[in-house]
Amino acid sequence: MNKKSTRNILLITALAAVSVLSACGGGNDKNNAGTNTGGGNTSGGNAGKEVTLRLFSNLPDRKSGQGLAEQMVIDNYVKENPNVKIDIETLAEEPFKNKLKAYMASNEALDVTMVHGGAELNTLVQAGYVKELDPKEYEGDKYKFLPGVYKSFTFNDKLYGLPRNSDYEVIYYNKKLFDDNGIKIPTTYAELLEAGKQFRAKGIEPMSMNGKDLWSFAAFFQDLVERVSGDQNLMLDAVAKKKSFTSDENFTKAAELLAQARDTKLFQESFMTADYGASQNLFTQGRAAMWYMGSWEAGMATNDKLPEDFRNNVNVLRFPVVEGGKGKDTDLLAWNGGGYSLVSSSKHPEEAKKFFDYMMSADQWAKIVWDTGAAVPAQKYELSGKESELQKQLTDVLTGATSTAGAIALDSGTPKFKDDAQNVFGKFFAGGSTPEQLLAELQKAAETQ
Amino acid sequence: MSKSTKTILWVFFLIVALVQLFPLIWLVDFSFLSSTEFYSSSVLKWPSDPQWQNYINAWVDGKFLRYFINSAFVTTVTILLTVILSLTLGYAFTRMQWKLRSVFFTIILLGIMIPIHATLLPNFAIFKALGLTNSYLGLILPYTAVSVPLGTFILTGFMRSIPKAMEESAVVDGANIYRIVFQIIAPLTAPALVTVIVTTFLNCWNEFIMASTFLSKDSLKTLPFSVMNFAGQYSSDYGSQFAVMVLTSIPAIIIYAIFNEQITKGVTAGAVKG
Repeated sequence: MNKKSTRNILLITALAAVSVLSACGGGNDKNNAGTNTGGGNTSGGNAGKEVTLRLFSNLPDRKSGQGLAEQMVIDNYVKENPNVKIDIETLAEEPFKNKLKAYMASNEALDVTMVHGGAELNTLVQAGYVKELDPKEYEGDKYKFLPGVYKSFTFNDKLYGLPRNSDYEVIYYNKKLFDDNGIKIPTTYAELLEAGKQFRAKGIEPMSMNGKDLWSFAAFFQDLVERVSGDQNLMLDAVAKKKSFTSDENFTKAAELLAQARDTKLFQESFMTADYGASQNLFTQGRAAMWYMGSWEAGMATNDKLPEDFRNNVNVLRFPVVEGGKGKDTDLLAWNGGGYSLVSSSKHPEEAKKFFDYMMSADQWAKIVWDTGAAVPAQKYELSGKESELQKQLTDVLTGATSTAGAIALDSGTPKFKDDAQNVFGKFFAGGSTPEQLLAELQKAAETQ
Repeated sequence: MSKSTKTILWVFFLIVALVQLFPLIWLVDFSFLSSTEFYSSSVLKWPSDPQWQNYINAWVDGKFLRYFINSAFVTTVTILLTVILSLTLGYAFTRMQWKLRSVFFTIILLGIMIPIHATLLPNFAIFKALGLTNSYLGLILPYTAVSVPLGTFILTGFMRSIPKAMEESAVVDGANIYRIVFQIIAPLTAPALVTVIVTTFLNCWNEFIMASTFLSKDSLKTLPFSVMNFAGQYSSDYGSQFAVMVLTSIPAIIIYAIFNEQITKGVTAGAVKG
């Protein structure tokens, strides 16, 4: 009897402890929500309902780069609309993607979310998680979107999000290293390889590459495919299984050229273990002559943490042409990867739309990222006259482009394809498989996606 | 032992100690560099101009204090629950005779093998339905669930080595079951309990995936988020991240230093039946 009653008491206390704890958590929630709206009230005093909007973004660092730009847009909006509070949740790239899936599966009531165009957005579209937008609303002077930037955000002729940046691959180079060593700035692929050999002979790393991240290889290969075939869509078609990697001789040629880059040691030593930061530091410290990277690094020339000698000498080079290839050096591997979408399950659809439109207007995100050098926007921007030389060169590359790819092949398939294809490139560069094996395995990755 | 053998042993141990300490030295060293100084050709780079700013960044922008309190709370509660559950479960599996005992023991131990990634989505859905996301309990429950199997495993092994005569004499003296478990068995299993406490501590202290999935409110976030506050889309503020990691590892080092001896005892205890 005694035994039993003690046990019962223990059980009850355990249960009580659990329920108290859970009540605690739940209570906290409500309390916070209460103070949130309360806080808005005191600072507001303006007409209009108190609203808290939820924004989900992949830019955790709010003090520099694009994170800072995003924060500035939000601050501007809140200043103009004191009745609105914006709750930002940020996670770094990989956890962001995972959590967005969890949110989608449970139909979480976010208001605006960052999205990656292409296959990832398509998943959200098919789940009905994001809202359709009317492209007509975004025409005209308020937004100034560049032509063709909706490509990765359009599915079945319907628009589901707006791009925030124009991303395109260029080769950054350190002019001083070229001049000091008397090496010609390459305009063809053969000259690029030759310059690589000369730099290597002088003990300077020719080209810095973030091999560990793997995606750069795929972009480099897509650039080569275009330069050989003159067809921006060839590689995209192959991923979409409209063409075959193995039967088109353009691919064979491009794969052979890629093997040459590997075999003549164009990339730095141990490039396979270098991640983004490592490859960037190698270049910014003047120990590598070139860096194959995207337009979002425009801020390098104005970043006062970098050596001044470097900042004065960083320049942009278009991806060189290939001898006998049909592509021009003004054909640009450009795409619009990241952007924002409105979430269907939003609790404040009207306020969310208002904020979204504000953010995407040309004088907000586009202007701020351009002014801070955080990225090149997907909208037309006024040159303020304060641009760095590097920013002007990047603008020239974009405005001088005679054709653009619109999408990066790696992101145009399913996430599984991306994973498989990246590993194929990793195997090619680290394991030394042949060009034929590379193409055969890419084909397999496209077929089994 | 001759003098020369002793010297050789000493030198050997010093080298081992250096190798063991190197990551920590490296961590502290790098926390004083500015982000552009990373990836130089030398392994250690003594900063000419130590960046104390990194620590200020870690404290302010990394919201260190807030996240530290959250981590400490979640970890403490998790450890308490894990210890109580593993101890009682361990006792029930080694000393009590009941039907389905081995079945339940197997089920609990299966928990060691389940990868947390597989549980994320279903757990998120369940927690959301129960209103447990964005609460401390939303972390404490899964952390405890992950820690209990290993704790039970360690404790059962240890308890088997305790002679039954101890409990028999306690029973003769009139102790009931709770007294036996908490006043006789618990002190005897102290080394194993410390092992459980330390492993649970390290797991919770460093855990990020579950926390990032179940939490979205800033006021509840735990320490690993602090590191992420310095991650940009492409490149990161490495100096500040290293400063956060130094600050984060200090409590772990202190705890390990205090319980060091008992951990080694706990790991080997129960290996040989006494």
